[in-house]
Amino acid sequence: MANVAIVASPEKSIAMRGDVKSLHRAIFIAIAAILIVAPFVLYPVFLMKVLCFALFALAFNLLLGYGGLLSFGHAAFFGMAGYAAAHAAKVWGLTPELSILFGMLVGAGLGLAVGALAIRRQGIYFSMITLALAQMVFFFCLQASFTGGEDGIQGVPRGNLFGLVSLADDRVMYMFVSVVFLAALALIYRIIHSPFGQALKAIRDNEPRAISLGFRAAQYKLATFVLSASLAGLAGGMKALVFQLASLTDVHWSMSGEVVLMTLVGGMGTVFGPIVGALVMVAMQNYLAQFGAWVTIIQGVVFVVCVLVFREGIVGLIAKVIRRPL
Amino acid sequence: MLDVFPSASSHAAAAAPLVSVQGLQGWYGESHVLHGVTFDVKAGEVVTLLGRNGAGKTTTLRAMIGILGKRAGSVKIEGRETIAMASRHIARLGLGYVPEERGIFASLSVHENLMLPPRVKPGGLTVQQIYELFPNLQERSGSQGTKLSGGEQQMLAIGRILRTGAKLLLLDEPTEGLAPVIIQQIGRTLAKLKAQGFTIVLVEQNFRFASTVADRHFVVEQGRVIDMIPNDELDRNVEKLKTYLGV
Amino acid sequence: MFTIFDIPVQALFGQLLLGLINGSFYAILSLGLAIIFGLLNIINFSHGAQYMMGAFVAWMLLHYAGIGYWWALLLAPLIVGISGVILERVLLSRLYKLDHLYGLLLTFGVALIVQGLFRNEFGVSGLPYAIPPELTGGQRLPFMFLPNYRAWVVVASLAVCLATWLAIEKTKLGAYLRAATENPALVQAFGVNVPLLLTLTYGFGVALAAFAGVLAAPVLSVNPNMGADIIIVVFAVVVIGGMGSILGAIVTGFSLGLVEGLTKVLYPEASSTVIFVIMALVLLVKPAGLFGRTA
Repeated sequence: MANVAIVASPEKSIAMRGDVKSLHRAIFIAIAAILIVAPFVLYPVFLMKVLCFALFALAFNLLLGYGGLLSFGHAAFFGMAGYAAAHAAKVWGLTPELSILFGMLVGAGLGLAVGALAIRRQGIYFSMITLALAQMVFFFCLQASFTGGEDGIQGVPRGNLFGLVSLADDRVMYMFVSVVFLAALALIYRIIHSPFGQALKAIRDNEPRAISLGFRAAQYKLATFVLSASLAGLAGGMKALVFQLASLTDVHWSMSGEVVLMTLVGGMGTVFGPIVGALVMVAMQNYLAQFGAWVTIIQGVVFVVCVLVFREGIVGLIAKVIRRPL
Repeated sequence: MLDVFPSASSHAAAAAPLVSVQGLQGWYGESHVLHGVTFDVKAGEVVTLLGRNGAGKTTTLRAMIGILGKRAGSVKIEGRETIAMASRHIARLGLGYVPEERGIFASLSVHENLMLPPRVKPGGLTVQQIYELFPNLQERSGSQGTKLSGGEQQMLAIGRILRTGAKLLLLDEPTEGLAPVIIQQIGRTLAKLKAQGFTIVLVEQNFRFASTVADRHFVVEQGRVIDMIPNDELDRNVEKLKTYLGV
Repeated sequence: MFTIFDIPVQALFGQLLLGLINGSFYAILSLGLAIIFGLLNIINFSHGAQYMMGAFVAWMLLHYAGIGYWWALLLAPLIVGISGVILERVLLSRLYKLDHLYGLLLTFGVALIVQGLFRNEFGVSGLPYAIPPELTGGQRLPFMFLPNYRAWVVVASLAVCLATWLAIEKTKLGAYLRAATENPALVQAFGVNVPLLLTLTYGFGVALAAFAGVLAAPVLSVNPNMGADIIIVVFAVVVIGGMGSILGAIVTGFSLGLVEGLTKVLYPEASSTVIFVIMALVLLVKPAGLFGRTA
């Protein structure tokens, strides 16, 4: 399949150039610094929403930007993990970190099932299959009893972290979410720049050639899919606890579309793009919520404009200008 | 034997060449394949592009008919500059293209393949005339195009171009992989076409075959024309040719 | 009153008929998708939205211009088809040199825009569209009551599908389409205006979707969400059938509609997901699809 991530500047050697490494380190520190300062300027709940979606988008981009696979059903993992975490916290009374972990496992398992099926086809068919299977998950959630149907699971308790620290206060919850986010970002970064990540890019750029070099493409793709689904599950589980709600919106196909849009706007195939994309989209949604159906229309317009003239996305454009990979 | 062509017209000894290629450059994606091909073809002439595999002969034809993605330089057909024209407009100037792989469509029957290219100039052969020229095609007219043998597909590829009225033909290795009997038949067909005033640019590896119809031979190497050998001097230059072709 | 599997015969055949009707829509829509994909290599995500537009244009023709169903069957596909032509000329054609995915993303964006606009204007509840007077009522058959309009939907769909198949397989224009699907560069080198062919083909595929929308208007309610609901199922149909064959798309569409109808009778909870389950099974057993060539 042709190279979807059109902006990833070719990293010619496994070891990255020193100046790029220090640039990324600086960015990471900057993000951490911003996260520390932000709650004094913006509402913690808004920030947590951004972080959860940023993680969702980062997970998605691992599959799209680096794996070259466009999943149009990622909401299934995000939303299902949310239901799982909500159920674990509310009905089983698990502590938050265990509930979220459970959500993540559910995401991983679902990812394994969906991925194993979807990978049997390439390109466009792959995307359609993920969409169809996600729709199946949606209908399941609609009809199953434990998901609460149209109402969803409400009143999810945030609980006490490790049984010790109460997460009821938004600021404390925010600290937890930030730490998890930074850890996940670091993990994703390491994956992308590891031999695994390199192999993945080789498969994305020229699968037949990679296979002839001895890479078992299907296994790499499946592994990436499961990783991506797990991290999406992590995001979904956290979101369920942040908002204390798991609902059908999170498994609906429009949610799958939104994460695609976030990644597109932020910059496919860049490391930090999805974060910017999530920030932009969540902020836009918050601002436009008063206009009802116009949100959908504007999202559509952004899609069209990005695909036609802005394929590299915000961070992709910056990366092009400063001539360093981001 | 039936003469299926209308009465012969004399070879046009036109002053200006029908086709003039100057400094033609061509790229496949990032790969720079043609580095300045220059040659000309007079009306009614048959010229061949000879050269090894990968020399740029097929690429030159592709550039001339306009299906090469990126090209530069000059290709003039009857004095008109075509370097920037879309292939469908170039075809309408009266060019007929028979690609190396023949390009017979699998999802079309033989008859549909034959009828596909539209008339670009008046005076093309009728279907009946083509069937008289290539009787095999009539027998198999209902079959799926790719069920034909290699030789039959070649006849179909040539036949459908003859229907269009194009008088300038670009033929890419018409004899490749074919049995000697078929090669002879194609040779006879080309001779007839030449007698009718067709202008032909032939890409061939088999210069013996080419010498039976061609007037001049251009040797192509690494995307450039490096030599021209008139047909009547071919025998004197066989050794030189063999070096060029790496035979 | 007889029963089969403990189900009253009337109910069984009633559901099967409904399944056949859904199957008609699946067939027409997957046919349009397959034709567009075959030539343009783009998955037209806006197909559902264009189906919805067909239904709405029919409704608007009736309520704003007093133009009835029979004219709508002709005019709605024409109008929506023209919108498709404009979309292809202005936006889609810029993407042909890029990866297929961008076409999917663009048409997805267009679907969002169209759906949003219609939702803004008409809200989310359905608008009623009356069955044309010539087709009201029905036939009393021994095993069921056959509403005339529903029989008409199935017949009209079959007719349109078969006519499309004939046009593609047996006409000169169809030959151009088939040849251009195989080797567009060569067809252009013969002097054929392939870009125009692409535009018209897209327009035709869109018109097919709109036609299905008009057929659907009296049966389902005309609402802005009808496209999104059906398009995902049609994707599954297309994966099951494979997009290599026109006839395959038609047969798969009708069959899956029937299967869905049967499931609704026998095991109702699974009816909304049975097609997806079948898709999963087909992927395990014959990944290229029932009628597909290689992926």
